[in-house]
Amino acid sequence: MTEGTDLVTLPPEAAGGELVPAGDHQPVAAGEHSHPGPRQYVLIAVVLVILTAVEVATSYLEGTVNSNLLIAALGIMAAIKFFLVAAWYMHMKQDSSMFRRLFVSGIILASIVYGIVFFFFSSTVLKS
Amino acid sequence: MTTVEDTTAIVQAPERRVRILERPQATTGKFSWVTTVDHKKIAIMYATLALFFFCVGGIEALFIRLQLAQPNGTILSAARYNEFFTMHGTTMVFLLGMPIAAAFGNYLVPLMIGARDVAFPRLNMLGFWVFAFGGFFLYSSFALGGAPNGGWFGYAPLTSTPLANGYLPGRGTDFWTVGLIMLGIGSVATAVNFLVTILNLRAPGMTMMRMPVFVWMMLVIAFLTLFAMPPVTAALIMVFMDRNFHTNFFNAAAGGDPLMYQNLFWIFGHPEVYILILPGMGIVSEILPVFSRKPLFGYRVVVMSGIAIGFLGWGVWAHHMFASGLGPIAVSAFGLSTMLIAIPTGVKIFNWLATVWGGAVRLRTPMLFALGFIAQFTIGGLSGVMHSIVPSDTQQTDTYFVVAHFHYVLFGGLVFAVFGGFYYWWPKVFGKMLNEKMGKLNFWLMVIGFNLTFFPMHFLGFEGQPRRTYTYPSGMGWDTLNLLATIGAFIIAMSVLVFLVNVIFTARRGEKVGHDPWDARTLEWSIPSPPPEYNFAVVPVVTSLDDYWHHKYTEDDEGRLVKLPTGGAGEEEELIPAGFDPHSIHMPSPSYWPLIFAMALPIMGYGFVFKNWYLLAVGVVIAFFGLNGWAIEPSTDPEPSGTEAH
Amino acid sequence: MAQAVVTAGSSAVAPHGGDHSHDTNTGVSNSKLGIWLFLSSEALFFGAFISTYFLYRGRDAQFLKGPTPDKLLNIPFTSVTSFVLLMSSLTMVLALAAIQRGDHRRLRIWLLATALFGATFIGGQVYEFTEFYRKGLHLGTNMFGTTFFVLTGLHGAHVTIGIIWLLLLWGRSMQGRLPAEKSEAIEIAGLYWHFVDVVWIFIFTAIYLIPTH
Repeated sequence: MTEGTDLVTLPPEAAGGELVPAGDHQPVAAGEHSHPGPRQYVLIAVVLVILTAVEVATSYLEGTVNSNLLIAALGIMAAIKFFLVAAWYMHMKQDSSMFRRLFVSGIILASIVYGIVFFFFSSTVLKS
Repeated sequence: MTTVEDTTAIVQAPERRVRILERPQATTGKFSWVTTVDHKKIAIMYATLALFFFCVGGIEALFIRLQLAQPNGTILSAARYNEFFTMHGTTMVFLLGMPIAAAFGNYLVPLMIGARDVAFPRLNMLGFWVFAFGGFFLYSSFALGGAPNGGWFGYAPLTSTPLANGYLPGRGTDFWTVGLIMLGIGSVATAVNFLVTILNLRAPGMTMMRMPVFVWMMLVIAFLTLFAMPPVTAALIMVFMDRNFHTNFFNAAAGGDPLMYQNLFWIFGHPEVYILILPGMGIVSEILPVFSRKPLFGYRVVVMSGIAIGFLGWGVWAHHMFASGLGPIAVSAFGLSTMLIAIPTGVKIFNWLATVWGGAVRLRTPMLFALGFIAQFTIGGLSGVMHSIVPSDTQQTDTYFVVAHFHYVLFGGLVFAVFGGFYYWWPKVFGKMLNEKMGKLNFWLMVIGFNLTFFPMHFLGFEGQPRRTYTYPSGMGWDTLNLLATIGAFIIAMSVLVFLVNVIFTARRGEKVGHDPWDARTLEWSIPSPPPEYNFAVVPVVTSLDDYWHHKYTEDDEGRLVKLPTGGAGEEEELIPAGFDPHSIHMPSPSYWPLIFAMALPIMGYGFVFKNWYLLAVGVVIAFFGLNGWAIEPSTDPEPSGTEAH
Repeated sequence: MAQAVVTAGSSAVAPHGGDHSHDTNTGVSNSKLGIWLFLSSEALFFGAFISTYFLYRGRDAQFLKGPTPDKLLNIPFTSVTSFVLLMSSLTMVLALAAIQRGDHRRLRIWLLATALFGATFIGGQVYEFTEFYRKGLHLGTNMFGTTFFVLTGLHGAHVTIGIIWLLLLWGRSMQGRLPAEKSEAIEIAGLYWHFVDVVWIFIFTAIYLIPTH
């Protein structure tokens, strides 16, 4: 049963102090889980450079290969580069999953909404 | 080689104080309002300015109604009329609707979740000043070459043809695009603030499902704002570029498509209407239980419906474009999605009704406004569902039927909720109760005036009176209803006057009340009225939904309320524990920097509008100067002197 | 730095002391949560311009003609500037690693390097813009001119703001106002910078690499 006095008699630590009240929260761990070191960062950079080179080479295949295939390949490579930067440089992989969920929600929303525009309205835009 | 010793030496270097911009200290006195970061003061400023713009927008509406009271009216020229209906809409949406949500949200969210302030107090301050400067910027257009006149939605190519020889010459539209982008910056900043506050700053035990419905609604609209402002910012940039730099975004002759503007605008515009209404729904969800002495019926479902509306709201935007030649597949899809969104809305209405049903209803002024909301919003929702039937909408669109629909949901809905909220929370904010007799007069005048103004418009719309036209010929059969609508508008004006008189009267001779005059349910009522700067002397530990109610009452075996010995209304002295030292709480200190950064924005704005690149550069420099000073300054002054937080 | 580990559900006391970690319900810092939220809204912003670019692609053949991408775009050149921007993300994250381990000299070196790479990228953009202008592509020439300049121009503005931000951080570190406890300031700038780089990854693919059919 509620004591009814909860509002008035709390341990002294709860009175005064920060904007964020003390209690059953998780304190932010400054280091979080182990972050990659400089060596891993450079490794990722190398992969990014290689991917970019492959991308550029692929773009030169225009005309010789089915263009839809090209677009798909380029899209996939761009997505991989995005994932690498986001996951490892922006620490999305190591940090709280909340960041990933929020950021991805924005991306999904953008994709859906602009995708709808493209599908439904390209016929009005592109008709001539 | 860098060593750790270097760091320690650096850390100990004292902060240099620049004399001219020495940090403000005062938290009391008139000037402290300019530099305050206290969410409660900021909320009061938001509400005051929003109410001011409500009156300005209302006066614009009165002129519109005077012009339309008779056929072939001569009160306003066509050009003036275009400015007035544009500014009326723009003002009500951006200078009343969104700021009043920020006002209520700012005051109540920290209190309702048991926090001492929002996550980013200076960002909060920025949000207000951007609103203030943005509003001023928009209205300065009247004196600087003409106000915006392309409608509050600013369709291309009307607005996007070049400045010199297009359809809307003059700078009005440029003030509009730049002004709205400016206001959008403030809105996004505030949205981020609310999101982080609600996600991160709740009191111990305040789980998400123990938060008041109002807080949930603020969470949802914060997400909506965050994601809806960017598309419209993009659209506005495109219009500005088309007008001023001859780009071809909406230039059909070059291959552009004006429909793209409509898409981008309504991708924003539809979520925007939910941003406008959900806080009102939150307010109503708080008022009804208190004045029915029953908990909200189906709390979980009401919350989920709010979230559902937030999601579904992204999939309906093209229902504003049914008459633009989209083709059968697109209109069918969007017609369907629009019908779907009526479901969670209807669910909420039933839950509110079930809350009141069987309750010990007290028909005080806040309750009257809340009940008015339910009735009128329902009517507006029904006309909305009529719009979702595409063939039907083809006749209704661009007629007064639409005007009736959105005024029923936004005025009959949101504005009524806002006034209910004013009457409900006034005692908390100011420690005085607004006069009940005047409140009832306010309500009844508003109900009569509102319905007299807007109900006839349903019929006018069916009879074909088009929107946004400055006059109509006689012999259309529209005369009587238009005259009635105008009379109604002036009755609304009277009701607002009654409110203002009530405010002044209460300030002078209002009845002082204690901390919980309504015997309410949520945490804000557990602290003194007005609340101290630090809100809670002792941070509450929450154990249930409507936690404060459960501190006051329990139920006996037959379900009757039993008052608990402590924590009840009236024991003002016991609210603050003995020996409590307010100086032990360090609140965030006032600051100049957000104000400086905010001032840079209209300077940049004028630079863009007048294509004065020196002015723009000056604004940019001030902006960076402000941001840098802000970043360096600690949120709480480590060496406070002078007047301190009490 | 050691942190008291708090198990969820226990009513522990907030650690006092001078560091920046606040106890938050979600366990993540307010500022980091804030910047991630802002970046997710930027996805909607750039998405609008990128999808507009895609929608208007190829329309110039029927309408205003004018210089087209295949005549203007210099893939090798832009590949190099894109590479430079990509490397700036590496230097940025190295700057963060440096401040986190207390190495302030390296922090400043990597910050400057990032700003320098960013400035190089912008220099490349400026060159490209003037080249296109010289060859007859203006904002209003055709759909390509409109969508290209506005999309890449807005991106460039974002990069420029980032460069100024980094230089201001560098200056703060030089003045001794950026101790290791304030590393979050670098982290937040870094998140913004990486995001701007990621946007370029998509713009580069969309404008330069995807074949014009």
